[in-house]
Amino acid sequence: MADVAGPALATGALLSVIGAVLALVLRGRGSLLISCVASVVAGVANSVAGIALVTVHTTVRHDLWSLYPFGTLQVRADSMSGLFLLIIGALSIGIAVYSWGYMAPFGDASLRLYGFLLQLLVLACIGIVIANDLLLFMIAWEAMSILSYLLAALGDQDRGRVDSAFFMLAMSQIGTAAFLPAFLLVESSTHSFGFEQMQSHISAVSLVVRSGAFLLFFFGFGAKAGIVPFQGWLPRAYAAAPSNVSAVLSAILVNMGVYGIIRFAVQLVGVGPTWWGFVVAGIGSLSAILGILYALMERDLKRFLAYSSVENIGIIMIGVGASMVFASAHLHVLAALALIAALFHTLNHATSKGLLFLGVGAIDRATAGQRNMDRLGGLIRVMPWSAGFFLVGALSIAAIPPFNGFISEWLTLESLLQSFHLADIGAKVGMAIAGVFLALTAGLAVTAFVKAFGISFLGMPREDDLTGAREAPRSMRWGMGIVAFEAVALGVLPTSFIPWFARAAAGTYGPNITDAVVPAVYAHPAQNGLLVHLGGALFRWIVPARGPIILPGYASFAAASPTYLAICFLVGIPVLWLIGRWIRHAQSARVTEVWAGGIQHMSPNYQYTSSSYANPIRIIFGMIFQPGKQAETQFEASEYFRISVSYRAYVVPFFERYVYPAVISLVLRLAYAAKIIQSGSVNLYLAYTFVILIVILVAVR
Amino acid sequence: MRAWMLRGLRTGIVATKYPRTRPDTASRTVPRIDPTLLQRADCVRLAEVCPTAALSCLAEPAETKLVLDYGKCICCGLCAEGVSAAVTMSHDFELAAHDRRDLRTEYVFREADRGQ
Amino acid sequence: MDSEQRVADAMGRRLSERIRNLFGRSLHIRHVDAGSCNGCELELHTLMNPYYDIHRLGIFITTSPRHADMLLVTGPVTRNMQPALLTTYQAMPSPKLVVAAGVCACTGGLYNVHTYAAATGLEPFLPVDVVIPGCPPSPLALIQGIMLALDRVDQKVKGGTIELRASNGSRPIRGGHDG
Repeated sequence: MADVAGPALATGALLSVIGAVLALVLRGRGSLLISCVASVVAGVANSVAGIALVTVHTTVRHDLWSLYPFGTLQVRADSMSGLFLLIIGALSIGIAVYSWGYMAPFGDASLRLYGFLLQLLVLACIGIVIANDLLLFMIAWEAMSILSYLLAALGDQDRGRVDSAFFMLAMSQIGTAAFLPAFLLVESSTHSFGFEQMQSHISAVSLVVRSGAFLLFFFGFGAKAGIVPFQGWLPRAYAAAPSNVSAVLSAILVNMGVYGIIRFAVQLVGVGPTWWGFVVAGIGSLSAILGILYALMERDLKRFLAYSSVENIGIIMIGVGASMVFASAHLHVLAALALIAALFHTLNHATSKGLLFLGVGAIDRATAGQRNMDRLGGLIRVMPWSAGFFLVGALSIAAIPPFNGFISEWLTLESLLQSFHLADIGAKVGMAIAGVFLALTAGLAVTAFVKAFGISFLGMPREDDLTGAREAPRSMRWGMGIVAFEAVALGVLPTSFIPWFARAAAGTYGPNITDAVVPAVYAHPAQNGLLVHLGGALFRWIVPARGPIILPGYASFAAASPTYLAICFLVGIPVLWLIGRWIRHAQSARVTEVWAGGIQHMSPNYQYTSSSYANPIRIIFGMIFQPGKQAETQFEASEYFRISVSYRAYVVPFFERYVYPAVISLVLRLAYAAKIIQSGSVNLYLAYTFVILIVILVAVR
Repeated sequence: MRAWMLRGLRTGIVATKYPRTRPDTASRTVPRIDPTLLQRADCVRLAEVCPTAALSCLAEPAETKLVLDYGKCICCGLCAEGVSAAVTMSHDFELAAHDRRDLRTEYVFREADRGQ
Repeated sequence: MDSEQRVADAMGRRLSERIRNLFGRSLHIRHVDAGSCNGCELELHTLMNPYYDIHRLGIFITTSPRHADMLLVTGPVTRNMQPALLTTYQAMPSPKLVVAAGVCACTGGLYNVHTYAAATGLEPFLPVDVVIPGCPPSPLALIQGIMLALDRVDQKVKGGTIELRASNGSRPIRGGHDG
């Protein structure tokens, strides 16, 4: 099985390159067709490679070209890489099918550029996850940054769009500027640019250097992942890009930041003191709660989803941080469990968020670009399929069983709840606080997605020009359907997929705890007597997994089975429906109007808007939001003869108002101070060059 | 807060036990007509005085009928202010009825009874 | 006539038993103000204070007609409130009771003259189970009326005709007012 991985990877990479070139060369629909087909096949190839790597514990190594004097570019694909390859591949299939319908109205130049850039972006992401040495990694990383900037900035020459894309690029470069010195720090102690060599020699590095490297890695890759305080680029970039590009950004790109954190800040620097884990979990908790709070205040669907991404990355970081804390305390089973939860949540977030962005794309296709929730409403009647897929994504990301988001959040929470195994009281309290933040975030996430789905799709249209809305074309529905199928499959049969995450986590924390998390109840009922006794070995012939039960490490603590829940729904809902029909036949029923407080004519103005729905949250968390309002009246001759009343309610975005301008002004002041050396005289610059050259020659000698 | 608690403990349960026991109420409700004191001549005067026609009079040669309809009485008390000795304001409040006709009492003076 | 009366009484008892079984000791009332002067509402609100405390009798005021067993109407049913009142009645599930509280709801009360508001009481619009006279009916009267609708108390007032002589002395023919 393992020898499928290498050829599949190569096929995928080759297809991406060919597809990119062809997309640039062909015209119009042909270009779009080629790029979609190439993306789909490359996605399949990458998924196959990923699955091959996570189902068999093996590592594919290959040496690419040799670049003098930097050495040979090396490729290493292990289970962790395989997992991220699977994420990239699985999502690109659905997004590519969707793009065939979504991008059909675009112009010829846009189509060719998008096709070219998207294929190369996927290739760059693959390069990131399989790179084994710093040079290949940096080439792929920078390519990803630039390509994503171009993708987000293209389109019409909207100044705001270019500014948002540039902000994303700037954040990405800040991250690069942070983690690159970390690599150099580690390299200075281990004397190698290869990641595997770095990792094997990391124990020789002093704790101070490792701590510094850890912090730089975490914040550097965190800038790409979108943790607080680097979350500012997410809403603007996601809103600026077209919806299928936003789906790529959210489902594939931020996961590169997560990959960087897990690979380098966790795996490379090794197990460290407990405070490392608390930094990660603390920032994760803060990102989670702030992300969902700001999401609740948003009216623009894409900005809303962007802030929800910040929240989910926060949850992933809580899992990663918990795993680091457990690893520091030598509780390897729990550490691996928390990491499994974080990895699972990465995949779940990719599918849910990708699906949600595809759904938003269907909305803005149907309503000619309307993304403001307060102007939508009642779309479920014209777009039932899109509404259904959006609902699947919303339920999944709000962690409602039996969808996939539930299991990863449940596993994260369970690993936090088992912090009583820790010896240190401070660590226990810290984990408990992280658990509180996670629970609060989960509740607010449900509120937020009830708002997003309800106000956009349900009720009556809040604007009249929604009459032109139509259901999305078939290719867009198929694309959404593919991603939704992946989400539902992950939710209904999680026990088939958790062994993959366990294998990926085994590379970081040692033991493969598959048996502790998904016990093989079907194959070995004798060893799992308690679970079998509780009815955990049923449905053997229809569940294609080792067993239907998920354990958070220890059977004595808890057990869950989303598979059983799905079966209960499948059986129970029709049974209840039949009982309901039988009861209704036995009784008389009277159909009357909806009770609306006695008013005679329902007007769309009576409905909730997104601001009114989220108003209790705005008031409760007023200290964070600092909400305010402005009302202006225009009147003629007297205040009683009003021409117009305008009302504006706002919340203060803390980082955009206080943190970012402060940092930017500091940088500008430093740059201004450094302007002294710019005299404009060429001779002075030549003198600078000469002096630096002498210094380098002396130092390197 | 403490003052209310102490007051509550001192005064005990204040809720009325109605309808198990019937409390006295001081508020005035509807008029009561004593049929033994009602004069024929009062009927027209009472009907004139009542603002909502709760007391209405049908005066015919054969009979004079005074109708007291509790369904229209606004408890103003004008009919009890010296028009007739038969009318006093009662404090009875148990006046609810299933049928509106149960609120209507007719006092009939027949010609045949005159003088007897 | 007596047998008719007995049949009617028996039917009434079966109906009231059914109502009592349906509502038991728990009744939810939806109150609608159909143009009232709010005097009746003041008396109605005092029913929830500690002295009258209808909760001890199992009676509750709800806001949603979907949850209500009884519709309590005050006010003379002005023209503007008619549609809302009828909508409320239709929104209530069967079985339901209707109580007209106050003389305005009974007959239009003080407003039963030819006005543009067309306020002539509840009878033309809804089937009324109990009328509670009074302007306003005291809280105890309201309690008695609601309990009468549930058949938990007996009706005290009877209408009828009283034959009188010109002199003192009366001979009631049928019925009488229990004073």
